[in-house]
Amino acid sequence: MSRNGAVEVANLWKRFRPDRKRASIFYDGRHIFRNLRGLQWRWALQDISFSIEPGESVALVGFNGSGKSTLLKILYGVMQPTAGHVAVGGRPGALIEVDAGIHPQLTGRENVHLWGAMLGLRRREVLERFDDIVQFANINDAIDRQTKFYSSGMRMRLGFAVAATLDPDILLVDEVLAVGDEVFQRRCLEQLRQLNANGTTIIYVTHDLATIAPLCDRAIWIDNGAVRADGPAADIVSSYIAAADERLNAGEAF
Amino acid sequence: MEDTPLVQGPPRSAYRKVRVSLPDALRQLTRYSPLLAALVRREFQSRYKQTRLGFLWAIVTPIALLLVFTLVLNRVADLQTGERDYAVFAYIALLPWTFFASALSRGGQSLVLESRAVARIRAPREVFPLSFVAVALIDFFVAVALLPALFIISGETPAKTALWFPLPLLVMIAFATGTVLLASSVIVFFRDLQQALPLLLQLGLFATPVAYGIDLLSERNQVLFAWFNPMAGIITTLRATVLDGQSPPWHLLGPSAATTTVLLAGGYWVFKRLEPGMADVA
Repeated sequence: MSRNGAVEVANLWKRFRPDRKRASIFYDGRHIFRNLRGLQWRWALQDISFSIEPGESVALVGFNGSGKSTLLKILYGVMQPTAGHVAVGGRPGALIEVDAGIHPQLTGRENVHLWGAMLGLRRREVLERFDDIVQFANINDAIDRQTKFYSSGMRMRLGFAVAATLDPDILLVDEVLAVGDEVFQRRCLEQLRQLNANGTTIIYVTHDLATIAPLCDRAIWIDNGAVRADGPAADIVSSYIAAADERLNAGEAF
Repeated sequence: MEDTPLVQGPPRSAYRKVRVSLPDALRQLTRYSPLLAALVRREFQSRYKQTRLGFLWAIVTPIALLLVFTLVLNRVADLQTGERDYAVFAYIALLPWTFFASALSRGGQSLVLESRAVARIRAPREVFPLSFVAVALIDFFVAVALLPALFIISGETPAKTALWFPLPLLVMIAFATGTVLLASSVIVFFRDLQQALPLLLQLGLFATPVAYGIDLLSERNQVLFAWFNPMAGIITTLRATVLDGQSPPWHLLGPSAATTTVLLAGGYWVFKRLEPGMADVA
């Protein structure tokens, strides 16, 4: 078992099923029994290896579709790798699509209990944190309103607030800050910084490169499913920006 | 995902294999029992929001089915039920059938309908289908509360042997659980089954002695029936004990329980075997 907060990834591979080619929704008969053999699997992650020490704060950068989110889901344990070794020490927490468990018919209050239970909390534990959650999400008067009447920012804030009170050993953050307003984004970043200062390992996926420097010392650049570079955040970010410029100048379609 | 160049992948020996341990799975599930409770609570919190009749809807379905059965089938088709009042005879079978049908139709689709959560939480995924079995069970007990009224109206009285009822109920719950686990996990990968499910349930109603009694068949065929359709043994046991004052027909309940045990263990095994791939396609 690894130490709390440590991450160890060795020769990690992940594939997704091939696209089945079908001309229309109407079958011509042959499709029904055709299996996947002979079709090309899509390898989303190819031989990824790295290790992270407890208390580190690491950014993951890379173009769309490079495999960052897949990697985070595997680290969090909701997705299984096809091959390779993954060890995550201690309790992982994730800020990945934090509104995924929010049910539109339920009120904010009912949703806090439900989402808390989905993250593995007991009802009593949710009650203990309830006031903090409502305060952090800043939706005091709307807590007993059905969440389908919430704005998308409010839903996101509610989901974030529940997930952020879990005090995990490792926190995985995927692009969740994009939806909140400036005030909420800054509060979240401040929260992440504090957690990191208290020893929580943070793995941070973002396209907002300006937010990396204040939070992360190290960055890993994932390109086409493989580790392209791993090092000090400032160096990686500048070579990543250079690669983006190059792509644009080459007129590469995306 | 953009175009990926031809990739060979890792050596064959490095591919991960899925190992299933049912005891481990049960331990994990127990840890997440608060989530199961929360999902059941959610269902009842959200179901009747913005409706006028509210909780009354829980008894509308069984009453409507009962009316159809007694008015149409009994009066028009003139089914033979011996001495027994047809309404009670049909209702005692409608209760377990409605439970099974609602558990399977809602629970079977639960992973597909909850795909966003399925791909993003660490909890054992069987909490979703299981929560609908629990919801259907609560509805079942609400509908059971109508039974005394029906007894009074029909002038029938429940027999003392009705106290055997927990036994067929246990088989009923286990059968629904096994079927729902199997169906819900297979549907994630084979969505054709989701489309076929309503049809299968309609056929199932005719393939189960709900509107008619099992005594239409010969003794030998009754036993075969119970092996292939555990609901037949369950319903016949309920009728025999609650209405007829007999002890449970073991030659029917036994085969039902045996098939159910295999289905429950097998269904849970298949579910856990398929679970690791669910996040990929959800």
